[in-house]
Amino acid sequence: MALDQKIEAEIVARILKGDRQSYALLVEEYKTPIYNLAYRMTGNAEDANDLTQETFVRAYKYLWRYDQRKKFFAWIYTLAFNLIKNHFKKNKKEKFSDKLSTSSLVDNHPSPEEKLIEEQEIGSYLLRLEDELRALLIMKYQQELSFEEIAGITGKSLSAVKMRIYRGLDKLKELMNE
Amino acid sequence: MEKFADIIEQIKKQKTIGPPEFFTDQVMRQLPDQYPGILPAAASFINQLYNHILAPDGDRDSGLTRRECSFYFFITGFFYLIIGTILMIGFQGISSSIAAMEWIKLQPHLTIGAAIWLLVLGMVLISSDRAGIKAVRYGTLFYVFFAFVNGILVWQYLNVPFAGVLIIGFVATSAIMGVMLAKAVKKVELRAI
Repeated sequence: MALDQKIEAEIVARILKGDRQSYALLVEEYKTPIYNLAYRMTGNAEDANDLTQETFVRAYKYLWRYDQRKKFFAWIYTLAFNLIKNHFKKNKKEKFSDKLSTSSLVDNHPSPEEKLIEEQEIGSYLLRLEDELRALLIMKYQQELSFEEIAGITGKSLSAVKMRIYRGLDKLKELMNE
Repeated sequence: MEKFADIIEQIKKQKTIGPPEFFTDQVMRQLPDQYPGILPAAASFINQLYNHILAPDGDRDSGLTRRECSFYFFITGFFYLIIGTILMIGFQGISSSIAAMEWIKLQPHLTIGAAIWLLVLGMVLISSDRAGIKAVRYGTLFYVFFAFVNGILVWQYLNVPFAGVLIIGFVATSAIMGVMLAKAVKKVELRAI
């Protein structure tokens, strides 16, 4: 999923010197995992697209802050995670999980997104989880990040991440058994 | 995690959704035409330098590094060492007047003792394993406990107006420093799991 760290550092150095086009290499490499996280978190293609674009534009602006001894993916993923969290804070009333519980009951013409959720039942249960728990489960099991990487991204301790992932799974099981 | 195996499997099986076509072009169009060359490069250099000084091992994803935490112990230890030395010199001139106050006469020695204790804990922290980190945390809590005991004993000997206020102030300061240090050690401990 990631470029070699040395190559990444070289690309970043080139961008910082003014080679704008090199940034396309980083976007191309990391757009899918970031978009996937945004999509799984919001359940909405439009929001996911906006958030992913914003992540990359912001990353470009603040590229000078990136610590080149670390993986670029971890840095940009952290940025994306924080943007998604802020998005939820700003649009608390319009969360997809809230829409899901009402719109699916009355709408006989489900949108493509809703169809996808019907196809992937686990996705609909995931959307009913707390935002944070959902994010942790997606990072761990869908994107296969290590506990250490997740701790770095979320700023939580390793034990807190493990505990929350366990709680997320437990809650998910509870929802599925309802 | 065994009991969640089926759920984990289902999450893993979910399709990875990618962005729409031409996503990269859309992003590139939003970037400023020209990245001002020298300024961000210089800022990045300073940022990298700062990171290297603060954490030469690059190990600061979450919590505290041992190096950072032991630094806190060293500066607190040196603080006590300076206070202890000043007390030691100061007490030489007035020791005759406090001859009866045995416990108070010991204060310079106790302060230097606390300094040595904290410096040793700092050294243990930087060079030990998980068990050592735990020992440092208990050692720090012992320092907090001792600050309280010392405060109570000093109170017994002092018959000066407002002595209580002064003692509470000193004990509270020591205790807060100790608790902060113990919290810092806890952060190091969490990283080491």
